[in-house]
Amino acid sequence: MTLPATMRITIRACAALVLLASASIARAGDDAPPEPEGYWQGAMNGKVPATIAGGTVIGTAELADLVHREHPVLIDVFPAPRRPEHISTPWMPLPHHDIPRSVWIPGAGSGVISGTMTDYFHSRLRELTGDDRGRMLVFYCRADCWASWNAAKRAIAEGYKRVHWYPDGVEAWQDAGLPTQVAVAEGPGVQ
Amino acid sequence: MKRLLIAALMVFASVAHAAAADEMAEREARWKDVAGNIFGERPMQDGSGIVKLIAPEQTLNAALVPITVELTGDRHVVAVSVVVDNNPSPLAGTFHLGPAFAQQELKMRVRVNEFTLIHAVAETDDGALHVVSRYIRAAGGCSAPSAVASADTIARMGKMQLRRERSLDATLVPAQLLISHPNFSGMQQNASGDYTPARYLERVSVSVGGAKAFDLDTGISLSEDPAISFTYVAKGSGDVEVKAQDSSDAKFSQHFDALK
Repeated sequence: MTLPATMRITIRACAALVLLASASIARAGDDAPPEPEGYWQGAMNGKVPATIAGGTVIGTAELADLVHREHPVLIDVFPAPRRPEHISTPWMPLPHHDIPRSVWIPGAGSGVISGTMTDYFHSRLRELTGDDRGRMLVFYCRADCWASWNAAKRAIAEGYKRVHWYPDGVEAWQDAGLPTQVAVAEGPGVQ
Repeated sequence: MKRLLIAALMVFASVAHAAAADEMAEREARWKDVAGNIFGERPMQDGSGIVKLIAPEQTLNAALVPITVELTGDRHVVAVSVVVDNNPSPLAGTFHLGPAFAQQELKMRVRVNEFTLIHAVAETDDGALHVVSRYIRAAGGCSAPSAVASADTIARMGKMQLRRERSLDATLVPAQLLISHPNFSGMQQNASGDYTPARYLERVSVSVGGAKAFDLDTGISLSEDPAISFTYVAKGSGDVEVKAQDSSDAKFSQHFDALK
């Protein structure tokens, strides 16, 4: 289907508007819990806060725009399945999809992380930012996922000045028709 | 402005529509993979009228999602499988049913790792497979920290209870079997951030007066402290005997008075 150029632009602008509107609806949940004092220790899946102290909360349209303009460091902390050493039922984990050019560090957003994970996370952040605390970072996992909140908070505590948190996660990104890639996990959370 | 809005809505609707169509195709492709892996190339028929699957559409606790499978027809069912398609280990369990199983319903609780279709597959005595499904929005169930893990988890492991109810027909006994077991998935982290190794029930066998009610083959998609409801047929004397075995080869068993 070909459309006149003006029409295409209008459509794009409108789609962005609709996205913005739906994103702000998603984030303005009345039942959002307050930020916990430290890292969230409960189940990773659940209602998340509407804010993150020291960082910025962003929606899908803002992220899509930032990805094009600023090329931020994208960090996905979706927990990865772990194959039991011995398993009696078929093992067939779903391939994980995330935002193109993301780095997937499963386990970096857990409530408590091991010393090995702490070292890995910090050195990887230094590498990815070129040791520039002003470089823009975006943390995400899936919708209603505390792991990205915890990981973003860890980066803020490390002194990164432009930490963004995308709570709507990869599902919202996909729902908006934006492209994804098959992710490859890295770090000590990988078996 | 009005035309602009209409155009925007049309685009939004078409994006949403395309995404929904993709999603349906993805779900179908996943089920084909999973079913092929579990059941091989055996054909499946629509199971409505033979089996009914009841599950909440949404739940806050993805580590404990209640599932009910009702046998609704008069066909004799010899096995029931519950499959959580998008879990890393999709087969929550297969119940191989015996003569002491009253053909009514089965209840259990499962872990759900991502939004997923859940399938219930009933095998009738002619070897045919009958399938029904439901979509459920829950996530994170496989890695959710254990609610029961504590110092006495090991001491309690394998302890069982059988809660029996009265029914009009004294030979049909509705019961709930509770087995104390953390059913560690291998994806749960402990208080120092380390992963607790998987340790889960592989097989649970229930017989009544020597007759099989069911043998359940299961895995990490079954929730911790498994709770299984079913109705058994109690004829004359004889105990309910429950045997269980976990992935560390620990064996547990307990006897209960069938007619108490």
